[in-house]
Amino acid sequence: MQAARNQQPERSQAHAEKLEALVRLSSGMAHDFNNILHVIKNATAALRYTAGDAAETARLLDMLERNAVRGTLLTRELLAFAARQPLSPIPLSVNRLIADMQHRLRNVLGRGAQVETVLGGSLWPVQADEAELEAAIVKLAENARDATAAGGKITIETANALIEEAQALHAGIEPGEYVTIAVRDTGGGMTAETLSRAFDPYFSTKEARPMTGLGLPHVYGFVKQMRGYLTVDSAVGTGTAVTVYLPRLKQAAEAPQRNEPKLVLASSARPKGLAGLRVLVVEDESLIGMLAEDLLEQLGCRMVGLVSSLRKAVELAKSAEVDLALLDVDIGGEPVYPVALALQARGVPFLFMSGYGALDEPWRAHPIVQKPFDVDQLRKEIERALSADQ
Amino acid sequence: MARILVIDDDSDVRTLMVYELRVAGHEVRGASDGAEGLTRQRESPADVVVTDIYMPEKEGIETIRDLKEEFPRVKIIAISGGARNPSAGGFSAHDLRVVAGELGVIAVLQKPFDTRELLRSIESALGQH
Repeated sequence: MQAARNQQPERSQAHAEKLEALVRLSSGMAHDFNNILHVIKNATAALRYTAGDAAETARLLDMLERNAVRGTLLTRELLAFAARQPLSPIPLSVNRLIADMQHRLRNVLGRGAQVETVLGGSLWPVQADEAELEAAIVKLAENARDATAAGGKITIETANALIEEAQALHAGIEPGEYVTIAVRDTGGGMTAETLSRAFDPYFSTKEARPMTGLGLPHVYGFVKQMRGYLTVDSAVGTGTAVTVYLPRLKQAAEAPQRNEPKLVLASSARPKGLAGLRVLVVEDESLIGMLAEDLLEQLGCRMVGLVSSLRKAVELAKSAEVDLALLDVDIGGEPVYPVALALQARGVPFLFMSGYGALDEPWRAHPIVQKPFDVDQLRKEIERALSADQ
Repeated sequence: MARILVIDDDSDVRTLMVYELRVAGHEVRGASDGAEGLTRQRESPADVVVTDIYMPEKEGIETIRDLKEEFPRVKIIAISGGARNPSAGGFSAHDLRVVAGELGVIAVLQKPFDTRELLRSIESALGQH
């Protein structure tokens, strides 16, 4: 099967013109919808005081007002597609944003959806409107869920990306440094024709749900306004990956820490032997993973990945270039031991993290750090794991 | 009680605003575009002009400039339904507020707005000298 790749909507002239026409259309529609809504809204208010049967009139008026609200939300989406919505960009960490929105994602996607996150280590900061970026990720995840049959998986992965000249030409992206947010599904994928309409407003393959086709165009408009890029890779039978590229924020100021406890460095001395250590963290609570990253950085280590899925962790354990792994004992209700076995087979040292109880045999004597732990405790167990390996 | 001129190319929006402002006790006339609005203003100057921004033929910003040039003391309230054609230079909500502010516009109301918001803006405009 051939993979269909829609790299950048502007690449082909015809597609660029089509998009431009759609932008004009959506903007015009938004303007007109607002006029209509204004009439409905104010006529409704006036009728309340002039009608005879108050109860019946009130019930009808409530209905009119609810539709006025729905129309308002629609026009907002249309303007977003036109990349003209008011935004408030701030420096932020995409990994922290995703970590903080885990509950929202679970609520929105429902219990049946299997979502895994693979958060790249040392992720660069970006400048973006926080609420809109969160909404964009939710929209992409919703699309992925809708495309995925029961039992399928949705993966949200972040990484730093350096797009060089040769790549830029191929991908239709300006050369530079970007943070990528990829949302992948294991659904049926898209045909070339469907993919070519993926950015059309109101286009949807979801027959049962009206007016849901603005998801991808809305995200596209927002990403464009952030001077980023959006690519869609899809193949029938193998699923779809939508990747957002946001320009790296190149400023001295760090991205703000959101709702995180202050970590105190128990020892200011940076221990020898841990400098530059590449560490893989397997943890299904993203916020705890972020805290672990902070502690590892204090020790001079570098978190090269934060994985929440057991399947993905086993995969990485077998092949990733890491010096050490930090493994939460319980990943989504399953023991992490298969990951430990894979690492052990390669001779990669590791230690466990646990919030309760002891390890099962034969791991009982293995280095383990009990949550909550501080930097000194982590350092001690890392050194024990590295010594045991030698 | 004030003399108010409402300029909007949407006849329903215009008719409704004229009606509501009259119910509120004001003397109100309507115009369907910027050119007609200027004509009406010259015939019988209003204290407050409420004008839509995105209209065919003569855009609201241009109308505002012309009004301010001929009638420096007129109070202007801008109303907007959003960018009709961003490719032709339509404004984002933020940019519109900036541009309107520079032209001395009292307030920018985004449709759909409640008539009470408009009435408050008019009261505020009348309170200014």
